[in-house]
Amino acid sequence: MKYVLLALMMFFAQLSMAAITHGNHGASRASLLPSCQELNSLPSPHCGLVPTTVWGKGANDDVDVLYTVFSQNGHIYFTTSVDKGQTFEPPTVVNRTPEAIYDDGENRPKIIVGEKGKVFVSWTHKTAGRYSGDVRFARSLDGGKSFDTPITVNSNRALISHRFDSMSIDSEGRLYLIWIDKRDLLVAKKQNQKYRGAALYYVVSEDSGASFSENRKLVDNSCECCRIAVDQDYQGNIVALWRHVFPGNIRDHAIAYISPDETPANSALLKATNDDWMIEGCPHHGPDLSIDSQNTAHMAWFTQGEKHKGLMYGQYDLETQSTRYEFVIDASAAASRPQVQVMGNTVYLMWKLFDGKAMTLNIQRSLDGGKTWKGRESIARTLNGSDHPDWVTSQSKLYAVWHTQSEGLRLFEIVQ
Amino acid sequence: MKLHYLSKIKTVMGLVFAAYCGMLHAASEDVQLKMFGSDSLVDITSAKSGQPFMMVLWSIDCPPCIKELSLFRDFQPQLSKKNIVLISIDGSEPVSVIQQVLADHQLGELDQWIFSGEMVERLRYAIDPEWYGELPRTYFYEREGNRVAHSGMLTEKILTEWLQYSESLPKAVSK
Repeated sequence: MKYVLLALMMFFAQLSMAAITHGNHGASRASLLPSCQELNSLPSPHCGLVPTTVWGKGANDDVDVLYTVFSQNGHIYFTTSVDKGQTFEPPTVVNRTPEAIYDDGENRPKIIVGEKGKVFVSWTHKTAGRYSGDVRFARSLDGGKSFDTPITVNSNRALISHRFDSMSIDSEGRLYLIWIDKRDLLVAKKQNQKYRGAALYYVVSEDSGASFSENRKLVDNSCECCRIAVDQDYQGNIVALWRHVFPGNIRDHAIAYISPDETPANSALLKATNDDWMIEGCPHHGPDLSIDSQNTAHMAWFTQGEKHKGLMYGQYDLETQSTRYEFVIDASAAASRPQVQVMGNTVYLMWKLFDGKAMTLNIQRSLDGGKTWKGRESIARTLNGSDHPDWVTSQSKLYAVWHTQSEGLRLFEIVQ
Repeated sequence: MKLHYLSKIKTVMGLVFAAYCGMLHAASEDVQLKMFGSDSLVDITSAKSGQPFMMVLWSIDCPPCIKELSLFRDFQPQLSKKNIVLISIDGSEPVSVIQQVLADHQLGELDQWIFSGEMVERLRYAIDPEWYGELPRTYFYEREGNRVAHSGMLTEKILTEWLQYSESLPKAVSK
């Protein structure tokens, strides 16, 4: 009887100490800005989720414009700012029909501003089922005033993962979309065969997104849920860096050129990082990449490997195909989301660090191409939720961009 | 004869009870999920009154975590609100999705929590400043709050050994 009473007391104590929820969200990532709480407020990069920004020229080529896409209420919106994000124009809707959208830090809309008013936007649509999605693309030919009807890029339409889209454009103006795709895993499962991870597929457009090549496989055995980093090499060719599943479930990174021509799958893969991280599962923590004029790929990533732990910086020489200068940026468990940017001979690193009270945004720089690093500095903090930080560059200027629940979208000048 | 008769009744009652439990488990909206905030860990440990228990962090976005839920389902007779606490870190997912996954794995009767609206990193830090966020993550609490952390999927062997070990620990005096 004593135990029954005790059990009852414990039960009621538990009931009283925590709210029990039914049917609603456990938490909201929605903006906490007062201006976003008004029912009639327009969609905005502050109120929406995962805004992604790039610099480009305005309609008359006379002014620098900040181009932004973001997710809000099942729509991807496009907007511009001529005052470095202080104010934004009323947004244009990219997908007129609302759809479920993956809008977490690893899965965010992408934007490229091309020549003559061309704007390209990609994102991942959440299809029925867990981990399922389709890669979507839409373009504007009038500087973002209107967008063509979005298309689904992946030709395989099974309710599986076609997610983590990335987009890039080469020096010839060819547009590339690359994503993580589980169609080969599906085939292997049906044949009762084992298959490590997922695959990377891509398409190329020679006509500014009017049409795309057939879906091509770049590699088998990528990790399932980390974003893919892409950048142009020194000649304007496209390079991708991603977390791979090497034999033995080692989830280090691989790097490869993406050819505009058809090439056999798995022909271009090179191992870029060496941490020996064996893990059953996916870390949801993709790498970042920035390539300099010597064709050195500067990389930032997260690992919990045998050899290294924490946030890492390293270089991969695309000419000699060798890795060098792998070192730990921040080994603490509260550090995350490293970003790297090279400008001339200076390399910048940025990452998030929870200091026990607030989330801080930290910067470190190297003036000798990544060989030695100066002390870190904290440039911003927030008390509530925050997106992955990102860089935005305009010729010689560099800004850090950070979207936070309490403050909205902010730009921080790093290099004037 | 009488004994045999009684055992039959017991069996029937057992089946009826199992069916009833099955119905309960099928109704996902009955799965109670408590909000885990940055001060909830103390509530959890104090409610356990110093008895050994497992605290398991999981996410619907983590395939090994889902496999681990299946393992807990198979160990169901040995698991109760007293010896296991599950915390979903899916604070931004609809609660109904989490409830459904738990109901599907017949784990709705256990002590279930979900990350609240607080900053995820703050909640992680409150649980363990040394935790990088990898999942699944289990803390084995021995008596008086001493705990051992484990990253990655639990195996049948680990779970069996822990349950045997925790049973063998001398019981704390209830306050």
